[in-house]
Amino acid sequence: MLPSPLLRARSWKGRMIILFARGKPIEIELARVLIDTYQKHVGKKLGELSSSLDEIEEYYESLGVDYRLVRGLSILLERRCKFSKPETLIQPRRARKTVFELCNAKLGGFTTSQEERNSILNKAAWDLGISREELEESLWADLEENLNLIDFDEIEEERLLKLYNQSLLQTALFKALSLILRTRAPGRELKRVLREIKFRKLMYQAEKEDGFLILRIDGPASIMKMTTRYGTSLAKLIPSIIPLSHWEIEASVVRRSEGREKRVLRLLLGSKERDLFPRNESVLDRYDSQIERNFSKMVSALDWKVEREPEALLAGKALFFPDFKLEKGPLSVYVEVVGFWTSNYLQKKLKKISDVEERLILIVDKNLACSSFQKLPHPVFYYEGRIDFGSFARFLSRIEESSKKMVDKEIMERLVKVKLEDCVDIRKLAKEIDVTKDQLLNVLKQGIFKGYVVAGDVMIKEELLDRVRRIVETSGTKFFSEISKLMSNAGFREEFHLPLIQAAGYKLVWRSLDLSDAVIE
Amino acid sequence: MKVRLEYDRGTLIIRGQYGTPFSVWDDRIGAFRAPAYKYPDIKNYLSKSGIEVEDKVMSPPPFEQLERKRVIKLHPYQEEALRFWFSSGSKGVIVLPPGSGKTIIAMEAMERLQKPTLIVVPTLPLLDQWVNRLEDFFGIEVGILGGGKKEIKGVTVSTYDSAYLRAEELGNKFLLAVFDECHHLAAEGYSQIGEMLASEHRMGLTATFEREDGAHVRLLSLIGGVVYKMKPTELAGEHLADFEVVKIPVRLKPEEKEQYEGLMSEYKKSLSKAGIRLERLEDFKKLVIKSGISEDARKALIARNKARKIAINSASKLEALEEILKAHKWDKVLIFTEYNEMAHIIGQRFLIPVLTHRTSPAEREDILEGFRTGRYTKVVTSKVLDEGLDVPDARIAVVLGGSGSRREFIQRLGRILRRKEKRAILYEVVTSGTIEVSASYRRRKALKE
Repeated sequence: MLPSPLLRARSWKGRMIILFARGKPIEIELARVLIDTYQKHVGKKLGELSSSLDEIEEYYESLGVDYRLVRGLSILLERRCKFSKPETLIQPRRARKTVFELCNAKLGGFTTSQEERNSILNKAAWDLGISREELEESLWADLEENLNLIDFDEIEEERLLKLYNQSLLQTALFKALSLILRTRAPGRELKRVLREIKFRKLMYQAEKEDGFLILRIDGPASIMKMTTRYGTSLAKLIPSIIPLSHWEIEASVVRRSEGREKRVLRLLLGSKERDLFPRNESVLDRYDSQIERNFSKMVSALDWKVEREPEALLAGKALFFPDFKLEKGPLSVYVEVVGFWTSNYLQKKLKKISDVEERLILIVDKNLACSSFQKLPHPVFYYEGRIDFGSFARFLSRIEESSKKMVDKEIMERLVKVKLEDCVDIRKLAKEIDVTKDQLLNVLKQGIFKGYVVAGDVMIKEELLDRVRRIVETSGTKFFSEISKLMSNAGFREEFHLPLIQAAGYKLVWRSLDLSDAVIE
Repeated sequence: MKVRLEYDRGTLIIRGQYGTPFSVWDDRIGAFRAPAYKYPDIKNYLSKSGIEVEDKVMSPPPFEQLERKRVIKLHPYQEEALRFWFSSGSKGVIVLPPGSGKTIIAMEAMERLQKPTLIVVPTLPLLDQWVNRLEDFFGIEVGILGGGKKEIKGVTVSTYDSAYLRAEELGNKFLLAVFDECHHLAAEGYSQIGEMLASEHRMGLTATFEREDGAHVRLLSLIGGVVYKMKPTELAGEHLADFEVVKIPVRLKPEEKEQYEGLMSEYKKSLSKAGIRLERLEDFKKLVIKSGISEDARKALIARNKARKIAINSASKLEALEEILKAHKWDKVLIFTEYNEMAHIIGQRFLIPVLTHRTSPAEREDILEGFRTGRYTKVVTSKVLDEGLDVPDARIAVVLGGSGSRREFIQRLGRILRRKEKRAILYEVVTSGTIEVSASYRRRKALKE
């Protein structure tokens, strides 16, 4: 973040356009020159560095480079410096005290000539037991311009420009009234943003729109009047927003320009401009607990797809971050593992959970206060010590059972949408419509999907069966191999011959291990 | 019919079926919300309407009984100011000249109220001064916010900056809020301190209530109106020293004059290129804002600042200063400069102790203490002594170029307006024929009002 006067932005049609450093050759050159200048002044006085910087600013300004860019970059570099007070024989403060007191006692507190000045300084040096030169070195050694630059943390010029852009964006937000974040990023990425919002004592309102999550962020007093009080806090969210895999922000920023009245400008920016900014590693959390790790393994074994830290859910106007999302075909269930928490935290969590509309199950340690869990509109699985595989499998299948109707309905809808051939491999079809084979078979066996019958792993159009029967009846043979040939001639694919015959009501009788010996009855 | 009042980060939450005056519906939390400073009004409204209130707003820190450890008798005007403040519902601003004992009025009010108190002050030196006074007067340990310290106690002193940054957290902790040099509270940012505090009792202290930007009207709702006012000339002679203003015009050195005129013509040229006509103070503000955008405006501003620096730091002034010092060799003299740089030049040339805002607290304490006892009789300072800080016993002040602001001038004058036998003198050294003169005119105007 930079001092406000160094913000580079213009307004255009009610919008604020920030003048980022886009890596023009002259910008890269300037960055290089500044970095070198800081580097070269390690071991020298701040006063010398300052005058070099003034020269650079003047030179680049004559080339048409905005002085605010020069100063902005310089401020970021100064933050990478360490300064120290020069070492002196005696403390500057003590030196001054001696000199001033002496001057006061002898001359009424001021000197009027070089001779008077010399006599005071010589006497003071004598009193302090140092030389006149040593005294003069000590006397003002602690003034800022006399500080020594002792260390400078180097940086690449391109990274400097990117850090500058991030600072510039933050500076623009100092005067922000509110910030809207639109994102498709998954919950595990968003969690950090939410943590920052909470930490900065901001507030947000969440909603979903066309698969986007929209967060309107401001502060408690924003509701009563337009206030820029939360601008700095909003600016501090930026480093957590930039690493998101997708983001768009819209801020309302107050701008006073050219003595005119204050205006509110819209600042729009999105992750398609991400290359302007530094690539901060987005830190992913490790598994919170042993329970969660075991849980993840166990559920995969039960034929469910597991996603850790899936998308955030709406809990009223707040966001809720479930631990897992379990998927089995069209059935999806969110899971929240409730481990050890303070009762205050638990109360808040429960309140939030009761506002979640999605299918959510809770896995709860029995040692926690269980009575309050019973009031929730979500199923609860209790465990003690560790989660028992068998009982959890039964719990999950009850969940499955209770959502059967919904699942069947969804499968029917998907079946209607696909183009079906006369004979269909059920495995392939299940994959195609993204359900499990069992779920699909379950629907087909109920006979609610009209026009097809099931034979083994194949689904067959009912109309075909009469043709199959005719071929069998008129073939004059009982050998499967011969009937199979006739069926091939009639255009049936070989892999479906056996299921077709069986579906038409015949039985295959094996006489040996050789299929050509088999007959149908 | 029941309403629950809660405090939430500088605001009030009103839970129940009804809104109250000053509140709005907040969809984010499903309740009404109001600014914290309306707390007394809202509470009053609810009780008048016969609505039962569950009040969870205030949450003050532990409070020790305040009992004075020193006998100090109030002057009649201090007593009167305090009476007016109490009869205005313990709200409002007391306007008194510097050196007239505003701190003691606040401490008297604290002792009578016996409530957790927050005192907000503009500078770190003032913070130290209040802390010392309070600890000495009441024999208590005081909480400090500012200068790297952050401890909240039943009586806490904070800088405006710290209070601004932590307003959310402080808002429901103090029943009495004292704003020293309260004209600062009217600034756009600092006014949020006043808005976020739920304190029922509020006292503003200042020598100059009116602000040139007119923002002091904000203080009416944040502290209350002026309940007592006394101008510097009313006090002079009776409680404070008589004083005299001596203006000493000096001329620029020939080479300074040449540089100065060059810069001023560059200034005027750039100004007309930028299309700005300077007639009033607001026009100048326009120039400053425009300098962020227009190249010419920026050039104009740079040229003007350079010219101003030449006028202010003119070597002729140092010569004039030398003459004044010679004339008051055995008096205590305070020298004020516009820039730190000038203060350091004077300190190094004349071997005079220098006070700037960068001076460490220990050295500052040593210099002020030395000035009190006569160990130092001359001190040069930039803006650090501008407000409220107690420097007793100086009879002579020299102003070497200051900005045109009225407040600054009165505050500086206040430094020498302490009770003493001899007449106080304020020397104002101005470079004639430069832009400094108009600033000097504005300064003197402030005295006559």
